[in-house]
Amino acid sequence: MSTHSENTHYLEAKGFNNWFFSVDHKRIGIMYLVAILFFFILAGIAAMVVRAELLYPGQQIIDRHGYNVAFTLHGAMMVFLFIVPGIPATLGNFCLPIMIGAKDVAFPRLNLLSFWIYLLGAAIIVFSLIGPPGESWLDTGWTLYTPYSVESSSGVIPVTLGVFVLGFSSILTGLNFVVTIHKMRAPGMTWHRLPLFVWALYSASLIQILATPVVGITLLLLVMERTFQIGFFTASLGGDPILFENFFWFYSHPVVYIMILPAMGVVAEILPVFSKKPIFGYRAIAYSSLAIALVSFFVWGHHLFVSGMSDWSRWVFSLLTFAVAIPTAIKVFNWISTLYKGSIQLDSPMLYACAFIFLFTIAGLTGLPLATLATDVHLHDTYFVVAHFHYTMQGGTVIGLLAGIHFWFPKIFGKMYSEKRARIGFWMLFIGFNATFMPQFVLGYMGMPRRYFDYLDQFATLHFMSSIGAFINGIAYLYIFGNLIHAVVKGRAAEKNPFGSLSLEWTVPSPPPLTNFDEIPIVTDWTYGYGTEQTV
Amino acid sequence: MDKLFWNGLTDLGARVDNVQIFIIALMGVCFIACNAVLIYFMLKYRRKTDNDVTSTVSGNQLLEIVWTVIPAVIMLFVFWYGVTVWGDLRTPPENAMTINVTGVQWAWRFEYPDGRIEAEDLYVPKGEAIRLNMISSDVLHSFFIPAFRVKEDVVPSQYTQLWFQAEKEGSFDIFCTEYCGDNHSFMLGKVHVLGPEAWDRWVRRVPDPNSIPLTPVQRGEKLFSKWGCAGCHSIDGSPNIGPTFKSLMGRAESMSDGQNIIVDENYIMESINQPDRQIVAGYPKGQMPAFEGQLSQQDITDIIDYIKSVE
Repeated sequence: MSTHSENTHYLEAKGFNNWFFSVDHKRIGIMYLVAILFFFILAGIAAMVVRAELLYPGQQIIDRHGYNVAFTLHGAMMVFLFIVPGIPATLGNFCLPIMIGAKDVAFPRLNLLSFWIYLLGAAIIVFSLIGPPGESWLDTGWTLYTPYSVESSSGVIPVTLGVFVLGFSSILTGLNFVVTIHKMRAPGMTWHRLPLFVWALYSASLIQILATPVVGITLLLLVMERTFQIGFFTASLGGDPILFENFFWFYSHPVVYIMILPAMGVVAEILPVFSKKPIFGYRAIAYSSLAIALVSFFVWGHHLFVSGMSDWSRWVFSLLTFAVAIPTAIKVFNWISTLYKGSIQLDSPMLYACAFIFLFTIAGLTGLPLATLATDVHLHDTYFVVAHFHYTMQGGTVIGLLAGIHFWFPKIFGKMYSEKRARIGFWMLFIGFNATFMPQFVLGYMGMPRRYFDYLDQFATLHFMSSIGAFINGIAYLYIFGNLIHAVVKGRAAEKNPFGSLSLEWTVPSPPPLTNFDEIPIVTDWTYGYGTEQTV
Repeated sequence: MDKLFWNGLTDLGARVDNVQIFIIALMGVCFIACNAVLIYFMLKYRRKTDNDVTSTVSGNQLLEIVWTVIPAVIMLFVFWYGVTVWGDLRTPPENAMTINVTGVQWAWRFEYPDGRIEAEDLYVPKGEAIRLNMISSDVLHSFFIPAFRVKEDVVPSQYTQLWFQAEKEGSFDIFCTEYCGDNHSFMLGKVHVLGPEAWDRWVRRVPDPNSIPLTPVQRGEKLFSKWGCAGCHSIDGSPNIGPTFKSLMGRAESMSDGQNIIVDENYIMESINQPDRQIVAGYPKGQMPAFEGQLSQQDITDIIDYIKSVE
């Protein structure tokens, strides 16, 4: 590393202050990673409690109120504290500037501020979920539907405040990324040479900036209703309870695409590297990210298909929801085509990427009966929806995050994990995940409603299977994280570019120096120039 | 739970299952096609040496067009197929028997046209269209009969409806599917579909001969005179200060703001609670007092049932 003699690598400086006050995008990415994984584990424990309770009919380990608290904790922490910041704040923060040939994001201090705001928002959410001493924990479900949420506890305003504060973190990160992508690209890094992960982050950032303010409006209306008794959501004050559902999903549905788009971007990075092939249909993939971001704002109504919303609206939202399927399908076809005539190395990042495609086809296709009005009436709010949602969020986003972590791990930590154990972990997760959620599709079609503490005997076998799957799923995560933590501490030193990627982050040492590049690189080609064939 | 599909209980349920089976087949074909190719490529192009020759192909415009247009056409078809069946799910026949349903934490309450009240269990005659006119007295609920493939949220301050026509006798589960608190998972019931004789017996069964309940229409009529509605609303079609109640339900009316509406339960409820929100064209605002907060939900439902009976 003689060329980087005076530029020490970013992990070198130790101590709390060197981390907590660091404006380095890489360190902020790591801090985010630690924070979101912490909440992932907490929320995961809540999920294990839920599944343990559902092992058999009747009460097992907690009472009905405890159960309602458990699924609320699981949902609220997973969604707001783990999966929304998920990939952008961690891998995005770490990789984005290096990938476009920049020394940092456009506003490094704003980046640190957004992390601090995240911590503040997380604290507000955790404390409002738990509630003041002596009061019961929040049991409204993460969706906080009025009027139940208003009647059952005082938690709805603090939680919304927490989401609002987190929203600022999200907006600032999104803003930072958008400006960085516009202004900080290295010479020659044109829009059509950008890595697809950057395109995905760009699309997700646009949603973050545009959708999040709606949470603020909702909060304001809730506070006004509580303080001045102006009826917005509460029927007894002359308000409309369905209005809250509209507001909630106007934010929360686009957010689903904040969660999934970056994972799609990660997959698009990994496939070409491990098949030594140019990405297939670069522009189609890039533009379909933008298309998904755009359409994502107009489909929230499909959460209200049986809510009492007008029939005319249901009709329109059904049509719009089908529109999302098209850019999504385009992505899947292009990913698969990338493998054609490649040289495919099934290392753990690639295994995760291929599993992402496999699971995401299930996630996407099971969306069809939910977008279709006639069948959604039956499936709405049943376990079918639970399974569909987890196929997109766990089978999609979490598998995508793990793909990205295994892919960039050598770059981030300069260490190599055990590939053998990574593969074992992958298969445990793959089996556990499918065993958990496959039975839930059938449960849903049989009519099993969601958020049920207890269930009728006809559902018992499938619930038992699902719970066993969930425990395998949980153990798999411990195994995977164990392998990675072991590697951080004791792993052998990683090479600069162990997977043979052409992207810019692999041209710098592992781990990267503090300022990424000694000299800003000049880009002359796109990052997917793989392939050895001399024709074409 | 017997058959997962085509349980033969309702004709519409079977048509919903047709849509579902069509989609499952479509899902299966797409899933197998995509993943067969994915796995085939993963195996066939597995790396043999570090110097494998790989293709440099990076796209194909024709393919992009093909796999954009074909899914779009398929999606449009599925959408349309779903909407046609759903349209019938949303349109109860004219002659359907209306039962008023109230969702409370944590039970269902059913009130029949003859004033009979049942809690938790719903009794219906076989082969007759049943329309449920539903409202919640507290939080959101959702009324779900999986066997009939029908579901609709039950909302405070707004009537929602669903309908079905059961073709086979038997008892089937009712679930609440909108989370409503601690006993959400115990907000269960059964719908009992009775054959002609059993239904006759059930109708004639009088639990306590000394207290034959008033029907909702009778109660509504009493409220109608108690609150002096007749001062402004005629029941014989003659003009008065307010619109006549004669054949009001289902009538097409033009509003003073230019909207055209069909009078339904929700419009009448709004007109009782907040009359000035939407005034029928030709009538002045500010004539009728707002009854918001003065009448119970039950009173309002009774008055609506009375208005419905004025033909």
